[in-house]
Amino acid sequence: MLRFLQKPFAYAAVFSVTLASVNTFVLLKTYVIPTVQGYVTEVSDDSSGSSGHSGYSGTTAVTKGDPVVTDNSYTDENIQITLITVRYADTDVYVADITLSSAEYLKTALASNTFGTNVTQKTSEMAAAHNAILAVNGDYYGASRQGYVIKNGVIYRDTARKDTSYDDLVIYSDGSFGIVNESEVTAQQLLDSGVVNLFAFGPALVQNGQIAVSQNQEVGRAMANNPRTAIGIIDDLHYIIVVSDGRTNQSEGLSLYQLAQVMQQYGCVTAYNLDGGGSSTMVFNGEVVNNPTTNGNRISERTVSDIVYIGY
Amino acid sequence: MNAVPRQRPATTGQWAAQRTAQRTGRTFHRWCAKITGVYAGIAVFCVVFCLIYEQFSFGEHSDAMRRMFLVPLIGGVLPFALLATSDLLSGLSRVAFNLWNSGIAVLVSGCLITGIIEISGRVSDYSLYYWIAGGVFLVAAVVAQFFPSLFFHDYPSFSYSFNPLFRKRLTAPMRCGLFLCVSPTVPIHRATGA
Repeated sequence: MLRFLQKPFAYAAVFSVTLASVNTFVLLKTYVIPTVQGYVTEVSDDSSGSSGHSGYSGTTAVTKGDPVVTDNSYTDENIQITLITVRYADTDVYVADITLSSAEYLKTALASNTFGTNVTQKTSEMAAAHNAILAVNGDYYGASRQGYVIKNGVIYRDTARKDTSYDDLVIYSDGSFGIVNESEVTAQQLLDSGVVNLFAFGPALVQNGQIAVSQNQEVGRAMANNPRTAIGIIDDLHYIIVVSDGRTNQSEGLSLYQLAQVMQQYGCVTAYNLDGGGSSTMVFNGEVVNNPTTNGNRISERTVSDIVYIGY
Repeated sequence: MNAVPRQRPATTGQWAAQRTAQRTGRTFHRWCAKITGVYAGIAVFCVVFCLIYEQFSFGEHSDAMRRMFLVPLIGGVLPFALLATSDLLSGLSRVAFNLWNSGIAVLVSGCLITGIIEISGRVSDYSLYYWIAGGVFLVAAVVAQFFPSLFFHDYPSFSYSFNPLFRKRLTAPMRCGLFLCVSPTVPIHRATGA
């Protein structure tokens, strides 16, 4: 064995192949190989919602009435959505103004109804699977093995993220928003306090009606304008979901501060930045309305871990 | 000129020592200078690779990838430049050289993989393993160089590692420190009869 170590080319060849294999495995494990850790199970109407990975949804009788659907609006007894496209900072920004009669119509969904890493699906596919009227990408929980994951009243992950510089957005069962830091509260405490959905991305864009990010603040180490996705609350059961284009010749993209300005202009009391970049996708009535970019400037929808959607 | 036939070593340790002793004097210095150049090229490549990668990362950057060039610079250029310009060592064990290169390669890979993962917005769960593995390789290289008896129980002497001329220039305190460093190997040499 030791004699073998002294053979320069034999050792170098074996070591190089081994190291390349390890690197390949790490990259595949990070980006490709799915690791399933649980499944979402539907809840029957008479369920208490306490068994397994079950959600809080589906416990109320739903009457839709006759929805009025146009290219940029949806209206029925419980859900009113108006979609407008504005031009801001050389960027196309898609703004969905949403008014609900109950918070239960603001939902989240996991790709393939499965919790795990590298379990992904296109936003439009998840929206179709859940009959979503409006859907946008969520926080891409699968990109990390840390950070609380609470979806539809179920804790899927209770490991706090190490980077505590960003806060989480929590949505309570009454539809109100809150900003929390994982270093200060456990996932179980959040669930006990009535949290039904949590997004661990960030940062918070608007808090108490004031912009909460600095002009130079960016996600991670990004220092450029990018496609963005954000969600905000204006009033009780009145929400704004914004997706901006970027990385294209038509749209430069928004900085976090510019995104916060948009959310503040629409009167958001609390607004939060969701996963952006190539993940930013908005689906309305089964159609992708923005120009999601994948692998650079190619207009293509990227698969993501989860969505937040409006629907029954 | 007739080449002197090389005597076939009787033991693994003798064989290792013979290989080590081949590079001495000016030949060893020239060889170290060549290795210094190779590592300098790798460091430059790391810088260029990082710059090109960041051009396509939409403003994202990774500290790990930006510091990647420091690994071949500090772990390759500096030590081999030192060996090329001094009489610190009279020779370098092939085992130690391979292990040292492996350590540098693992650390560079760690920086590269960590950087790629960080720039994509994800968190690397494997970086720590790279740092540990790289460190183990580097420590093993140092041990193989200065305490070859741990690798070769029948290694004839560890004097190939330290240049005798260099040792003569050591001051008394430095000799004491050197003795403390190598003294743990003495019982091993005695126990193994080396």
